[in-house]
Amino acid sequence: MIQVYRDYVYSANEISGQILGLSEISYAIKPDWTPELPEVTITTTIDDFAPGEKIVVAQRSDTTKQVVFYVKEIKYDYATQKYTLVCPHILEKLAYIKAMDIPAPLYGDSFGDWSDVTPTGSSGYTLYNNQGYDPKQGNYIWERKYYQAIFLIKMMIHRVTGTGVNSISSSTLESKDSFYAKRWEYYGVQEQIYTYGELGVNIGQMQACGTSYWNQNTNPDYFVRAGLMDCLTLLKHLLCALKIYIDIFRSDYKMDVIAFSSAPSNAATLGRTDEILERYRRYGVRRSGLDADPDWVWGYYDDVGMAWVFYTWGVDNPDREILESVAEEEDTGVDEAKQISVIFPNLFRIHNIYINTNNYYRSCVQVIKDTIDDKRDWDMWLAAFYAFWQPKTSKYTFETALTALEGKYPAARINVEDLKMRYERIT
Amino acid sequence: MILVPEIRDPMLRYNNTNYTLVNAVTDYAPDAVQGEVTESVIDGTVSMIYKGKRLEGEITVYGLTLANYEAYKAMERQTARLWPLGAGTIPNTNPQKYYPYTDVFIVSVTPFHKNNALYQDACIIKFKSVSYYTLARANDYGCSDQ
Repeated sequence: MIQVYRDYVYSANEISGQILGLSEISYAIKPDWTPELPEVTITTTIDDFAPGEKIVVAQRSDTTKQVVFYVKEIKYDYATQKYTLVCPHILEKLAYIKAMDIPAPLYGDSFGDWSDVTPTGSSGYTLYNNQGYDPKQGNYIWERKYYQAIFLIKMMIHRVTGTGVNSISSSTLESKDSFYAKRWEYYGVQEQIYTYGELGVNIGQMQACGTSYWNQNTNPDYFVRAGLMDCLTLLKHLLCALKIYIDIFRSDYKMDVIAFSSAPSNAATLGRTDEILERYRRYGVRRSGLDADPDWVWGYYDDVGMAWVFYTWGVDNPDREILESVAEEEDTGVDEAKQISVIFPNLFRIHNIYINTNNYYRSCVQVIKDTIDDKRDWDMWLAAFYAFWQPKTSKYTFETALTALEGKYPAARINVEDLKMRYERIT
Repeated sequence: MILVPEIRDPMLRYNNTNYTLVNAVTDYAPDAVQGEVTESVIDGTVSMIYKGKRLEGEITVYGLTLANYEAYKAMERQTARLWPLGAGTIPNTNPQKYYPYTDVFIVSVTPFHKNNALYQDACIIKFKSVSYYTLARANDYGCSDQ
C-alpha cells in the first residue's frame, strides 16, 4: 500500500484520498548504462498545485521507501473538473541546472557557507573541486577514492531534492578504491599508486563544475561556448561511467554498483552452427594477457568493399535473434591499416584491436596511446580501467578476422558494449 | 407544510403570458445533483466533484386545446419560467414568502393521445432549470401581473 504526500512525508500533507489516477512508475537502466528516470501522470481534484511542487509517493509501512516527483505541468479539464499533473522524477530538475551552478568550495573553504554539508574529516569531500585538466587533479590531493565523483553526485541530488549530503547513502561505494590513483604529497614529493579501474569519471566534464572561482569560468559565456552540459546529463554520464545507480526508491538516495551477473560460458552463449549463418564465418579473438579460449563473433571480409562485415543480428535470421543490431562503421581516419579501433561506448574507454597476421599469434586488445599529452598517466589510467573491464567483457566479446585474411584492412569500429548486451539477451 | 402549504397546479410563464397547467401530472427531480463521484486509486477514499443541483423533470398536461398545445409547443427549446408547485403567496410568513419558481429550459413538448383518438389531447413537457437551482421558497412572486 502506498501513500501520496505533498512536499514531504507528513501526516497533514497526505493527499492519497484525492488521487484519482496514478500512472505506472518505471525506473530503468538503458542499454548504454544510463539511467532513465520515471515520470508519472497524476489525476487529482486538488486545485492548488503549483509547478515545481514536490509529490512524494511512499510506502505506507516504511515511508523511507519513497520516490519523489515534482509537478512539471498542470492540465485542467473543466468538463471533468480534474487536474492532470505531469510529474517527472525530482532529479529531472537537474536538466535545468548547468553544471556550473552546483556550488563547490576550493580546498580549505568552509562548507557551512554554501550548503548544509559538513563532511567528516578532510579526506575527499573538501578536495572535490580542486582539480585541473589532467588526471593529476591538482597539487593537493590524497586518497580521493570515490569521493570526488560521489560527492559531486551528492551535491546534485542535494540541489534539487534538498536532501542533506550527509544523508545520502554511499557507504557501499566509499570502500572502493580510486579509479585514478591514491596519491600522497608529502614534503613536495609525490607518490603515485594507480590501483584499480572500477571508477572512471570524465575529467573534462567534471572540471568545469563548481569552479567559478577560476577566471575563465566566471563569465557565463564561457560555459555556453564550452557547451557545458546540464547536470542531468552529467549525472547520467557519471552514473554510466561509474556503473552505479541511485536508488530513487529510498529517501537516502542510496548509491550502489550495478550488479553484474556472472558471464555465460561461450559454449552456452554462442553454440550455433555455421549452417545458420552460412554467409558468415566465425572468428576468434583473444585479448592480451588472456589465455582463455577465444570469444566469437560472426562476420566476413568483403574483398570488394574492402570492409569488415559483421553479422548484424536479426538481418539474416530474424526469428532467431535479438532485436537490436549494431551498425558497423568504417573509420577512415585510422592511419594504421592493421588496426581496428574499438571505442568502448562509455566516455573514455578506448581500446585498439591489433590484428596480427602471423598465424602463430592471435590479435589482441591494447589500450590506445598517445591520445593525450600525459601519456604515462593515460596509460596507467587506461590500464587500470582495462584491468577492471577485461574479465567482465572477455566472455562476451566481439572479434575480428585475424589470421584468416591477408592484405590491408580498413579499420572498423565495433560497439563492443552493445554486442555484449546482445549476447546477454540470448541467454 | 414544508415548502408550501398545498401543492397547486404548476404554472408556466412564457412571452409575458401565464399558463396554469390544470390537473397536470408532475414528475420532478428536485435538487438533482450534477457531478461525479470519485474514488481514490490509492486508498479508495470516495469523494465527489460537485458542480451543483438543478430542477428537472416532466409535466404531463391533459385536456389540451389546440391553442394551448400550440402555446406550449412554441416554448420548445426556449426558456420559460416555471412555478413547479403552483404560484402564490405563502401565508403566515414574515417577511412574505412565495411559491418557488425558476427559469427552465424546455427540452421538448411531446404530444400524445389520451381520450380522443382524433387529435392530440395531451403532451409531455420536459424541462431543466436553466441554472443550478435548489427548490426553496421565493422572495417574490416571480412576475408582476399576478
